[in-house]
Amino acid sequence: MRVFVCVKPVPDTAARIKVGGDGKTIDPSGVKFILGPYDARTVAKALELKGEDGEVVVVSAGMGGKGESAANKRIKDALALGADRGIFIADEAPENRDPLAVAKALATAIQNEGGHDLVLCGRQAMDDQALAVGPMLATLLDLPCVTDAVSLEVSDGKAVVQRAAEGRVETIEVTLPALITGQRDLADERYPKLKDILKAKKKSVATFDFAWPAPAYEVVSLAPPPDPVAGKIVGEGPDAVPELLKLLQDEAKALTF
Amino acid sequence: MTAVLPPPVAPGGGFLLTPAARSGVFSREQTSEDQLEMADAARAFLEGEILPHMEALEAWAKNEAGDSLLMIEKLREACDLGLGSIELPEEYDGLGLSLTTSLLCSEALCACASFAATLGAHAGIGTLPIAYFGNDEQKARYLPKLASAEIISCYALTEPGNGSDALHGKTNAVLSDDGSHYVLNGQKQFITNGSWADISVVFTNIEGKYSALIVDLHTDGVTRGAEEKKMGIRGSSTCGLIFQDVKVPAEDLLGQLGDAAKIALNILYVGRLKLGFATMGTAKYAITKTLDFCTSRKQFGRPVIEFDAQQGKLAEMAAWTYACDSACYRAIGDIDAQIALLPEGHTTLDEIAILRQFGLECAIVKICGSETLSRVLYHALRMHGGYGFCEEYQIERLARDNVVDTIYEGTNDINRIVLSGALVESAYMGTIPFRETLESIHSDLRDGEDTLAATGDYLAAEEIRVLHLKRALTYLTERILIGIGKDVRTEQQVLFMLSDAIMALYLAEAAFARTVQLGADHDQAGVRADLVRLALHDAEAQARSSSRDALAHVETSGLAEHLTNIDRLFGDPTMPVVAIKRRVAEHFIAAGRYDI
Repeated sequence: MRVFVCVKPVPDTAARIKVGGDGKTIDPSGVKFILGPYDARTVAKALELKGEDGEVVVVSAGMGGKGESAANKRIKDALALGADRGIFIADEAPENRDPLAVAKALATAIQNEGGHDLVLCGRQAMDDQALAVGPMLATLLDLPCVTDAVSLEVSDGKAVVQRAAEGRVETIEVTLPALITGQRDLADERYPKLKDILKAKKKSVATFDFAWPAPAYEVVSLAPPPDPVAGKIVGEGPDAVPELLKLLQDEAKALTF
Repeated sequence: MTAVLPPPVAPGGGFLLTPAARSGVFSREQTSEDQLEMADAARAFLEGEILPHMEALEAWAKNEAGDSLLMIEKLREACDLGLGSIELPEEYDGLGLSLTTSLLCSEALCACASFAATLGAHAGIGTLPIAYFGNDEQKARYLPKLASAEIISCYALTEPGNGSDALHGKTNAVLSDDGSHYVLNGQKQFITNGSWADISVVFTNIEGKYSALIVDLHTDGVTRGAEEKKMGIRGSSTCGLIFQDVKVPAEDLLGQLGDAAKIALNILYVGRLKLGFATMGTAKYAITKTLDFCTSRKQFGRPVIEFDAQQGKLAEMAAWTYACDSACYRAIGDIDAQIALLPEGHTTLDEIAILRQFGLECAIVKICGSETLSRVLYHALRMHGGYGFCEEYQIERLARDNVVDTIYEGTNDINRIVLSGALVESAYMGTIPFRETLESIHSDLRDGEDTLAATGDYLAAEEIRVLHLKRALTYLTERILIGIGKDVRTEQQVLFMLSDAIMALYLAEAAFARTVQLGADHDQAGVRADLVRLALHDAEAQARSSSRDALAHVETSGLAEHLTNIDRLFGDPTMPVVAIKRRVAEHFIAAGRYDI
């Protein structure tokens, strides 16, 4: 089976995000970029599924704070986990790429490869959390799309996918080729073998030239989230309950009846 | 590999006599991208597979399938990734990578000493004797299975009556009449992995020569003692091994008869380096944990870390760790530089010989790693307040686990003897230019000349402090050699003072050199320069106190003059440490972790 996996470099989840001097991007100094946790699990799943004659191709567009080198390094991370080869879509000006532009770039690169059985994306990038590229890419590739997969099995040209919906787990059967976006539970975490880190250096990463459209949207400003509001003690004992309920309902809007 | 190897520094204390190093000192910033990626992989494994299971590992829980101990499962997972065979030759399923790469991974696999001890006993001291001293048949038979941890190994040197005096054990093996096997009798003590190892490298007398055998622990006559109830590294196994008429095939003799000293001591040099790196890594982990806690914990309405006293402690922890980190990489860089000078086609044994020459530096790495961690944890635990005393916050476990770091791989006491002993030997044998340097110091003292000149602009004042330290300690070394020359082996208290002072210099100079090499334009130049100052201040205090105590003992007459001389050589100790510590703390509070 030929599986394409789309990945994006994102800041380490433990990194302290600071707004850059331009007020529009994050300050990349001291921030480590990693293969996002959702992406890493989809790579692991692709490797499980590809079969003996199969191939796992990792695709990344030059998004992320450090552009090309960060994307290339994350492709290498996926190759070290066992993926076969990579495609890197260079982007000279990644700052204002909207999800549709990224989806178009990925779709063009994948179509250029002349065939796919399965396309996998993480459910979201950990940094901007748009949750958009996967479904958009499915539309552009004219593939059925299942989002938020927690399990995925493939046989006889079909995929059986379980997805986490609110309060329930849906099981969906979908004809291949298809695009699936994955949750963390999609596969067990994989760690690179040290010798595969060295082997990854020798695997092919092709550069795909994409004619990026002029940015259609612009990040106007970036600000840290507001500080959490200090807690309030409304009283003590049973007498305080009515006031507490009222505040939870009207002010915090945490309860609805 | 892009690492630039520095020019070699004479092993055995050559650093004491060189000018303050502005170049040629290896540091973590010079490691290659490949090496860093390997360390990242090791760290990811630690964070994903070890630290979340600490409680189960400490409790000797079974794995999910219930058929094997979790520790063994994790050991095999680590070895499957290659973490147990980094420096083994490729032909025996190893990765054939450098000791530096292996040490970076040791550093990354920190913070869980139970696991590190298990892996180290198996892949380090349990496997490397076979890799270094085994014949081709033994290597082919054992190494691939050890690399994958299909079989687990251990190292049996210590006996109930022989700890530090390791090479005079009572275990004895006798060759059978037909020459086919040895009959082994004796008892070994405190054997890490003893409960679950399949084979062991066992040190024993054979025909009156202390030698080493590879022993299959599933052979009749092998009994494993009760598991020790330990203060720390409770997830690891430590027990005795008892051998009663155990038949060991003759082909399992490791090396030649009488090779025990060569095997045991050389393996310990590697073990000391690994332990130093692992404890240095744990110190960083403890600093980050403490920062986490003290940033969220509030007292008197403010985060604890905003209080001046806590900031002072944070800065001290960071400075000790920066100096220790610098020293560890400095040592391995100097070792690698000497190995690089070996002719092509050299053997592992040639590399081991280099390591032996650097016994002093290996001892420094072991002592400074384990004791820097002790000092860091002393602050870390108290900065956690009452929570530091509770298991939930990890610091309690780290503090318990750290105690054994000062005991095994050669106690720190033994390592201090090794350190000063090696320096005394180098000075006597003339392998370091001790006499020449002394003459210049004495001539300066006579002439009243003590203006030392820096050789560069950046950190010039710090360079002069390094020079002062070197000159004072060269003088001290001479006074000790003259004062106790004939009793050098029995005057252990004085040797400890010398060791502590020399080690303090080595750390401070390493921090200085590392920082100077990164330059004033480095984006952390400010905080790094402050860390160098604190490291120097710490080293000066240590060296002065040791020197005065040592002189007071060794000088039978003219003590006042020698004290005056050494004070002059040390120079002015004044430093605005309070302000420096506040600046350093500010950096780490903003970073939220040990980010250097």
